Amino acid sequence: MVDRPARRPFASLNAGALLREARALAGISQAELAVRIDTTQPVVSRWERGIDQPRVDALARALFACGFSADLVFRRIDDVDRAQIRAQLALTPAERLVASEQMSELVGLASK
Amino acid sequence: MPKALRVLELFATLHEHRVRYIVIGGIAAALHGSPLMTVDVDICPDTHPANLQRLCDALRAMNARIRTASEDDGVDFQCHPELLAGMRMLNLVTDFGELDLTFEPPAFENGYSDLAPQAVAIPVGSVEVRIAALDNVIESKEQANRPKDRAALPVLYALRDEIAERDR
Repeated sequence: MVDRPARRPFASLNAGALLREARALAGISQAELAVRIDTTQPVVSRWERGIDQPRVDALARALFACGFSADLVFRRIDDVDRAQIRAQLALTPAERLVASEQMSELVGLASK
Repeated sequence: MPKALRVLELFATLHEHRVRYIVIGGIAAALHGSPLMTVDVDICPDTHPANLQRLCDALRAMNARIRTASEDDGVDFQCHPELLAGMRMLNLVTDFGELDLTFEPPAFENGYSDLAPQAVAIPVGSVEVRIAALDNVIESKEQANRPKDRAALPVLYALRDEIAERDR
């Protein structure tokens, strides 16, 4: 059973979708949420539809009013080879498995 | 020396025996698109007694033995549902490579039932397998926090970003 909004990268954060998901999980209406955070239903509606963007503190308050807190985690951008990841993503799942099998076989040969 | 992985055959055997499980760990990450290498298959089985019986049947069919450091071919054991029901983890070697049964993955203490809602069904070869959501794979590795998990996480974060970018 899903009991909280899914984790998502900050770079692709869609505040409206997040708010809508949190409110749905809380089982409350836009009007009820608006009362809880001292605003109006049209404001909540405009946030959820992406017409307006809530400020970060307003988003945090709205999530809290839905019964959630959210963490923002900083990670240092590293030197991960993204070309290799994109190459894997271009494969089908079955092809990715074959690649894993081949790598495992190479390791086996190397450790002989 | 670890046996080479034959993942498709391993999945096919589990499928033939109608075992309910979710693929976790490195192979789940690889199926999502991770380029990281893995030498074993990790699965989180449903612990319903009937499923554990089917799992035992599948393990017998793939000649599963308990993996130990001292015995290359593993140690024979009599698989039965009650034995599996009392375990949190069991490391095995099979005809198709190393297989780890993880009943309570880090961050998911209810195991299969915690992972199932977000698991993704994907076709591989002639069978469909359910794999843990990438977020769940990441969360489990964050919780496990072993050196190999910490080493994998930057790649998995980057993979998640790439998937989000691709799907945007």
